[in-house]
Amino acid sequence: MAEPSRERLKRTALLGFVAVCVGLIGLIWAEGLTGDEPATPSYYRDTFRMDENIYLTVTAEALEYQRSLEEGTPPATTAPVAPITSVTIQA
Amino acid sequence: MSNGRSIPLQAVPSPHQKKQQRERLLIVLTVALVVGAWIVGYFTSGTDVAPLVPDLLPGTAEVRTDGPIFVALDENGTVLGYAALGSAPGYGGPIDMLVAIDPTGAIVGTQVVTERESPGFFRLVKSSEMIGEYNGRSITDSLQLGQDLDAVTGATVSAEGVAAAVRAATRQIANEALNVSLPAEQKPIQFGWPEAILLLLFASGYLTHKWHNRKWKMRARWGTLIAGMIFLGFVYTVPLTITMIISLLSGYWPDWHNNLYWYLLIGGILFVTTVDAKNPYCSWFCPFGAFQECVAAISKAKPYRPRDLSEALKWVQRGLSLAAIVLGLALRRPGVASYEPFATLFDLRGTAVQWIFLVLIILASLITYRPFCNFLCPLDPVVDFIAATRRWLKEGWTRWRNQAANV
Repeated sequence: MAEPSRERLKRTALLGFVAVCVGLIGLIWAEGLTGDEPATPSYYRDTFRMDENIYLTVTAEALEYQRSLEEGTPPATTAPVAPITSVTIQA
Repeated sequence: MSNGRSIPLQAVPSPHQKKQQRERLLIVLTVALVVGAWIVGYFTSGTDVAPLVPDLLPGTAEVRTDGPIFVALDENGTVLGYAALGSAPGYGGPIDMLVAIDPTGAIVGTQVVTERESPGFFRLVKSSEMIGEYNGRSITDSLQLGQDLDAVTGATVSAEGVAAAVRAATRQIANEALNVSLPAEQKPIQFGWPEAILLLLFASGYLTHKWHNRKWKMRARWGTLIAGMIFLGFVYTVPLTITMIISLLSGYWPDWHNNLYWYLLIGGILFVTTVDAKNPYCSWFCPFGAFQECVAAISKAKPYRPRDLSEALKWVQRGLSLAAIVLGLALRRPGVASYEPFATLFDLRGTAVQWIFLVLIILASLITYRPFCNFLCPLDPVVDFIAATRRWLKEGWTRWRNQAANV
């Protein structure tokens, strides 16, 4: 009695495995056909991103500061010349 | 009591003959479907490139064509620059790059027009700095990966395809628009460790499977399996995939100088399967098959395939394989049709769905022997198809030869 029920369970598990895999393969195909850009990881969502122009300005200043340190000339100021004026919040 | 009439004997086909007839009908239908998909792909693929030129050369008011060169003009009719389409083989097929160059010979923009790569791999190229790296380069620069351009780890073939396509377009503009003659590109044949290991695995698999000593045969098989898993899987990540088969059918054959491995792998499998009716790859050195066998060895999993479900499961697998081939051919995007979890395992790279798929297969490998190979792999039906076609052709050839001998 136990043997047939065990066999039935194995068959069901096998069919379930194949069915789920076929579904996942369908999803992989759909992803390949529709998804052009990588999906944003969930931990990046709902966080803000800085305005690219401001980010570049600050980065340029940081590079200038770094270069002046390497060249041995004292920096005129350690504070950013132009304060960050705006930050774009992206929901 | 006989009435004296003779009853003509009708040949009743045996179950074996019926099965054979059905098999041959399906071979014909499969070929028709594949040819149909190929034709659809041939006539529907392609992109109109001219509208993309203003994106690369801002201020363009008019785009004229001069042979293969697009000439971008501003409102006053001044030439802003030239653009051309360059094509080079990638992993799944040709990669077409549109390259724009200003009249001084500096690259001002590049854009991927079409590609047939696996999305996961090409995403690496697009997300890298590589495509933007061309801007500002001169037509006289070598534009070679590893020399004046950064390589892209994990997508070497695709990145090389992009670089070669940019070089092809640049060369075209230099020669035909700027009248600058560039030296011919050197194409050394690349034969390295992957090619050498593959040849060794082919040779050892082919020779040792003929051994009569079962114990040594098993040891040799485990040796080639482990070597295949380590080198073709984890070290170089170059297993056989359905993408390669679709590329082969599409006519997207890579440059043999730097893709010798592709030719050795596909050529070797087709050669041995056609000539010897043996599948030298799957049971001897398929890296993913080897991985599943290692997992099965841990849990001592046995093959499980209920007899009454066997035929239905085989058709599901064949259906998946055919669907992948038809999809890849009809869309002319071999990389999109691939669903094998090889890169996810060996390169640790994949989407959430691909990871779920891999984990499910690993768990199933603990319970049953090689579940992916037995129920899902798209390559097994391809090998079956070659074997069935071979049987048919061999039988036809023997019959024809016997008839010729009797005449």
